[in-house]
Amino acid sequence: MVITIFFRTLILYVLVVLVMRLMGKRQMGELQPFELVITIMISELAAVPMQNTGVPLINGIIPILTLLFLQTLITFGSLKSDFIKKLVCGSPTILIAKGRILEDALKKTQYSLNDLMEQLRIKGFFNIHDIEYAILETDGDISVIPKSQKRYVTPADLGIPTKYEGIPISIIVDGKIKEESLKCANLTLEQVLTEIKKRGIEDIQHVFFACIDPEGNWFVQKKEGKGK
Amino acid sequence: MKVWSTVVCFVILIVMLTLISTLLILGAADKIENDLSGLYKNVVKNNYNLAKSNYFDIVKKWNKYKKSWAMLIEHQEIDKIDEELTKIKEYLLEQDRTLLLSEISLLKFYIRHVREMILFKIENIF
Repeated sequence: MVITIFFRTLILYVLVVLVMRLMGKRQMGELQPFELVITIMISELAAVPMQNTGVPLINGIIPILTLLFLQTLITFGSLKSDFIKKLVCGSPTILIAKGRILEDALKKTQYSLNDLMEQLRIKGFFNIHDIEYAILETDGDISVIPKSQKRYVTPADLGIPTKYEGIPISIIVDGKIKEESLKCANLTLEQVLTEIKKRGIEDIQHVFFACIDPEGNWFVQKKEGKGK
Repeated sequence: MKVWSTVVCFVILIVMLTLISTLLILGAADKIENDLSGLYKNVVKNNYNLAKSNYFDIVKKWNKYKKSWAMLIEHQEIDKIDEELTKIKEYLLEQDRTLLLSEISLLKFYIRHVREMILFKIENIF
């Protein structure tokens, strides 16, 4: 009995993780209403056959796969057709336009003034005067466009030229070299070895973490208790 | 393209599983029901030796089908059938005609019920 439940849990867990991965990254971030429904249903469907050994495993597997299928279909439909997207996700609603709160929009979205003010504070806007537009997105989040005089200053505003900024590339992680990163950074193994030897580390396996930024600056940290 | 191949694969999977499960259940249910009818007739005729041989045939077949049925239907249904077979065995040994006939009919009903449950029908959807 115990071992049966253990294996059922194992199978369903792997299946649910696989399904969530196949559904894409959105499923783990901000959810659209239809995605939220599917996520809740999947967790419920997996829980029942997991604990009740009297229910065949297929009774959990088939509905989960069906929901994955539906989600794939709806997502694809939303990408291809604006009508389907509007139907399943709704459309963004402007709550503040040109500095004015739109009462009708608040009523339509059942969003109270207190909720709006709270969301604006969370976004870092404490004064309604500072806001040009506030848009309630389809996932329930609020996007705020401040008045031009109240937005954060940028180097472009000050006329300061900036250098290109890329992202640092991880070359060695926990003693293992990442071949893909080597290709990406146009580096050879010899160059990496030279760099770590400069820092007194003899072996790649002794490196805890090493990365290179777009300007060619290296960050190398050796593992504790390894090398010199 | 990827989405359509996923859709096609999923539809094929569902159709295949439906066909396999339907054939498994219906085929086995028909055979057991026929054997139960034979058992019933032999009990009516008071032919208990033949009835016993019918019973052992049914048990043999049931033990073979049970494993595949367990993957497709609720285990509660399988337990009910097992329970009925145990009762029938005892009544056969005791040669209790009345109880035997009622239990065989009940077992037939359970088998038929499983068959009805597996079919794609409006009442099974709603």
